[in-house]
Amino acid sequence: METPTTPFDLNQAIQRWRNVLAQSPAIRGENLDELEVHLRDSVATLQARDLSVEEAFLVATKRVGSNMVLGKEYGKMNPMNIWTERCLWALIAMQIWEVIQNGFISITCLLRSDYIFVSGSPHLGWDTIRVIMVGMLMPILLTAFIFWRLLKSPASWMGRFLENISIYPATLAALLFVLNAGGHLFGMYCFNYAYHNSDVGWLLYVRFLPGSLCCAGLIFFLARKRVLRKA
Amino acid sequence: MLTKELAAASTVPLVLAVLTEGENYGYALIQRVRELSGGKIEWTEGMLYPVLHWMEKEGMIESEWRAAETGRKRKYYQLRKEGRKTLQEEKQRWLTVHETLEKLWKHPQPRSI
Repeated sequence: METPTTPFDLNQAIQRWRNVLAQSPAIRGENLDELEVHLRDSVATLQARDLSVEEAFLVATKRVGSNMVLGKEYGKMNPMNIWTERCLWALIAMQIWEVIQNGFISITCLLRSDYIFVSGSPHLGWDTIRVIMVGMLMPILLTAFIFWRLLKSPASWMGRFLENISIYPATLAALLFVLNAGGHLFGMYCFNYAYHNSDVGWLLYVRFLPGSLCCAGLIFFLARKRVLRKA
Repeated sequence: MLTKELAAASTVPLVLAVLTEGENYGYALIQRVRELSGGKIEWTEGMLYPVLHWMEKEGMIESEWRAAETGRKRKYYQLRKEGRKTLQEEKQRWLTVHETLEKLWKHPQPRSI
């Protein structure tokens, strides 16, 4: 019989299994502790029946149930957790969408200003509407695409980055706010450039601030709740 | 093997009935049901815990983290008064179904149209 190159480490395997389960918003830290005790009991019983540690671990995890099934069942008991989690990701997606949108606004203003602004005043022809449609629609589609990819493979570098940074609610909220404020500022700078330095751009910039601050506050609050729940 | 629906419907009465034998923790509870049913009642084990937490929220049982003799900390569940009441009600329901089916299986009366 071949000997495995790396011996099986039960504690490491259990830690990995816990990390996968912890991704489900409905499963709290205490639930994980209880499931871990169960898994260890199960592994011990199976080992007593002449199974190797690795075999026992595989059978025991299968009997406990997949993270999909468990997440769903726990979700029935703590539906609020699932909704606060959804709100958090929706808010993060909204902030990212705003950043992308500002990018598009800047590009449109810089490249197509002659289309939209004829002699200083907005010219609302079909060309303008087309440009605005692309400017509004593309960021939504792009954000939707990013988050669709994230849902499909949460282990991608961006998923890991978001997961890691969401452990620090203040950093997460601050980073999104700074990105957003910077994006808006740049967007408005470009708007003003195209609009011959009117004050409208700056007014729009001031208008965005309260909303963005509220968003950042909510993201901080929800992310903090999430961290406390996983503790 | 039980169907999914029957397994779900029988979980609460089974848990309550096992807990009448004394306080217990999740893993042992499942083992006890498996042993009594001769292995015919197999749960997806992890699914028992959300049910236990729901029962606790409803006041049927209470729980406590405690270290066992082996030193391993486990969450023990114990029956409460409300749980005993629920068990009595469940018992009546299951007996009604059981008795009705038994009558039909033992003495079926063929009807001619």
